[in-house]
Amino acid sequence: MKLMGLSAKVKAMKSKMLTKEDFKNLMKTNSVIEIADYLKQHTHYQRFLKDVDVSKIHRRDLEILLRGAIVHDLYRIYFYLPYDIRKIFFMFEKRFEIENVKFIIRIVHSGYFENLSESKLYPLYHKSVDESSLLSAKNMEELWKVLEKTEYRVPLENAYRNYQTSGKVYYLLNALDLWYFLTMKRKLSGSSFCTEGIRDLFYLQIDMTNIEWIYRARLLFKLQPSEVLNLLIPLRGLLERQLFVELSNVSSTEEFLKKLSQTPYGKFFKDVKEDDLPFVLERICDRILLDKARRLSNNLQNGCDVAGGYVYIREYEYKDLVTIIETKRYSLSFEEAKGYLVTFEE
Amino acid sequence: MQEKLSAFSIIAPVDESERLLKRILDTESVEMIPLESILEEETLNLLRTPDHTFYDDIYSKFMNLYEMIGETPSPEPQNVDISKMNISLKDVNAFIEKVLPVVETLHRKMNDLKQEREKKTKDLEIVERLRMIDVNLKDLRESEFFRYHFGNIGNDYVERLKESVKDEDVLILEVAVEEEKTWLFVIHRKELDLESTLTTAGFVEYSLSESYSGTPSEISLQLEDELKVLDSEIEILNSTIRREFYKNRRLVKNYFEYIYILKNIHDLLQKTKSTENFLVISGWTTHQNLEEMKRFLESNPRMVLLSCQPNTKPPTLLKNRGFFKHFESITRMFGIPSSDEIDPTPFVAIMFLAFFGMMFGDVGHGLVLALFGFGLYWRLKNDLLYVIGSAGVSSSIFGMLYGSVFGYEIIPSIWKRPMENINYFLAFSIYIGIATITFAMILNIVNNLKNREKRELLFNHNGILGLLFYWIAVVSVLIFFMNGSFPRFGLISMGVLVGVMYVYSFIFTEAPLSERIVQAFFEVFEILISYFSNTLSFVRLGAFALNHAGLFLAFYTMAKMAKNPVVTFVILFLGNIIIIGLEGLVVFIQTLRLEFYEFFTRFFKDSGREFNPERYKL
Repeated sequence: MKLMGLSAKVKAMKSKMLTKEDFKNLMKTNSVIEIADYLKQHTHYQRFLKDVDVSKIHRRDLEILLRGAIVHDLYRIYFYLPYDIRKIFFMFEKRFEIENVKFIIRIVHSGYFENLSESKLYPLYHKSVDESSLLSAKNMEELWKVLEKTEYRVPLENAYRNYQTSGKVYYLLNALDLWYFLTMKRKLSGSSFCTEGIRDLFYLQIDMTNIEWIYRARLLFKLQPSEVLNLLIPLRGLLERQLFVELSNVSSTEEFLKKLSQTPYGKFFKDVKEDDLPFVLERICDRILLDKARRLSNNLQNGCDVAGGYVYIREYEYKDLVTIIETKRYSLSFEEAKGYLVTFEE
Repeated sequence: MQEKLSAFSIIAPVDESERLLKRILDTESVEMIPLESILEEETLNLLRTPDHTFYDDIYSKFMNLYEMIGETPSPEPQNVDISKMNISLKDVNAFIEKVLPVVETLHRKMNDLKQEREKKTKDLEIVERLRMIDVNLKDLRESEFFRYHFGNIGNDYVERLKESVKDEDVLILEVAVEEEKTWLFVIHRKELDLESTLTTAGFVEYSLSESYSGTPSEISLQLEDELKVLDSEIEILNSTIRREFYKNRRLVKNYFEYIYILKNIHDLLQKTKSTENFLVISGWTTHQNLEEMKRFLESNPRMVLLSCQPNTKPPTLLKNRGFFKHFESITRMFGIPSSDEIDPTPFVAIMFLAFFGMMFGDVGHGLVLALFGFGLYWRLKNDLLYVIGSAGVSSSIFGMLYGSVFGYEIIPSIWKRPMENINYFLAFSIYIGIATITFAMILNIVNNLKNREKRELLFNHNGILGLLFYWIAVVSVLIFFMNGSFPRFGLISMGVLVGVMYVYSFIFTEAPLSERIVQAFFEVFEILISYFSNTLSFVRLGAFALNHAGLFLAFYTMAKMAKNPVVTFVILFLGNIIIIGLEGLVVFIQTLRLEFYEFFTRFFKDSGREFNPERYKL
């Protein structure tokens, strides 16, 4: 048995997560205000909403509060982590910082500065970037001057030069995502203590991300195979290198599904209809990952597994809540909404 | 010790403002008081703040000139009487307008050359990386069948790129691998559109000017020659600029000094207010400077000196003399005493040396520390080094008391040897603790008396109540150790005093009733624990004295085990270095801890603000 204190803490936190009943009730609400009220009255989000007048809450404000909650949950786990494992959980938080940086890059690139404010960022506990300097940038040159003094210089240096010549912002965004995966891989390789489960989950995440990226790049954006291959995370879980080459050469959804069905993840895709794939691919990938995360988190022997799995599950809860909030914006019914959730299954 | 500061105001005619403010700057003994904290709003509304940007432009031109020359100006404003300088602003303006454009033009040319040199240096770096390619780049550039790209890519993405084009007519050569990036030389069939793939992969292309021809090795030689030519051209230009400056050096210095003084005066004017004819300033100053100011104003009947009462506390000017002055740095590490508090620096100095010496008593180690501290202080003039040197002297004195030289107990001890008198030293440490804590409480009582804080004086746990409780506890414990039973009087009176403490804490805690009950309990509990733990904390004085001898014993035993005299010497030599470096550092930290935590927290509020007199600023 390893790290039982950590295991007990995370299991206690996990027991407070939203239940199927909670999700049903949330989907049946009629407005963002009702969602906020339900979360305040009946769930573990109460502590984040206790000083908030939910009758006046805006969709964006609620999302910001939920962001604060997920980062806070991660922070609560830190204290139970041995030093060796802490660096991995720092990386989990680092992902939120990357999201903040990406958000700022997008805004500065687009020039819609009215959408830029500190309150819209994930409120982090460990920062490697001075957010106020990033937020004060008036153009990409100024933003780069701030970023090049941070650890993000390494992943962004080449991407920024390519951005300068092409004006395509996705070079920067993609470079940050890839950097996260490569850095996390290094951290996981360097830590030998009870992180095998997290490592498996991480490589599964890489496979899922690569599958989604290939689909989008090849079949939606019609990129050349060599371009598609160069967009992918240069790491693999259970998928063979040759499969990536074949997938990036497909010319139709049918072919894509056929190739995918021959992989270790084939069973999850075998009943998917071609026309449905654009709408369900991300959810299938998320559910494969969620399933693995749940199994990991149920491990009674290793606190590391419990915490690692929890981080993923917790993030899906956040994502689903954001989805529910979005469904109110588009006035979707319960039946329509439930199909978009990852954690909810009847 | 603190120097008492007095507040003053001066009303002077506007045409005397430059003379008055220069005098304030020259003395470096006046801190301006914002007039908002002295005058009423109605009066303030009648006054205006003078415009201060008048000399900024010309001042920045001079600074620009100095920057281009690569020199830092070193004006000496105190020795200058601007009214006798016979300089007019018109002359200064005319001068700078004449000199600056010449220097600027030369400097611009030099920058252009530097940029060219930078570009060629980068090209050279690129070409150097390509040396392994023995092909004429011009031929390759003009080839009908091939295209080439040279650039770098993150190390993590090299294999991915190679994999993605392995079925195409592409040759990828790794020409240099660095810590983060790999430099690639990519050749491919001309018809193949590889640019987007390379960009997507994160490849950044570096292109050379088309003017270069030949193999990379040949281009490299050509670039090296060109760089040498550029270097000499830059050097010539640099000399020309300096010549231009030195031609006018005396004038530049005088004019800059003049502008520098006026700019500083006008910056200071920002902290004053004026009417059309009169200027009002207010400030804190020392007694000596106030007297000098009075004499200055006596000879200037148009100016009036007034005393004033600002609504803020005076700033703090620590004024310890000689030896004690250097220990102000230790006090400052913790904070600045407010002007109505006792400056603990003299006590800090004495205690610091006593504690350090007692924990690190050794004639030899002390002398090494003293030589190190005073030796570096002589060169660097850093107070902390002086403190280390003094601590070394103290160690040597205690070393004589203990009879220890470089760990060897070879001289007779004047006092006692720690290892032979363990109980004595531990008990003695506790007595020092009791004395220190008592002294801290007395200082707190004096502070309370000075500030007329009656409630704090009587009921604070570091006030009379606390001192009474502490000493009853100390005496009771001593009686317990002598007679084996705790005196009843002690128990009863301590109980009563604890009760008073609880009631005091309960009454003056700001919280709901239920919280106050609990909070007051824990406050009193913490106070009682702190009396006990802070006293016991001084055991470290004796413990470290023992530790010092013990650590040397360990090295001595290791040295004895080695049969070779050279090895013995090396072990003892390294052992002594470790003792001086590591243990010296630990004891230094422990001494600070005793001062800051056990001593300071009982009386030192650290609520002061350091006196920050107006000075000339570059």
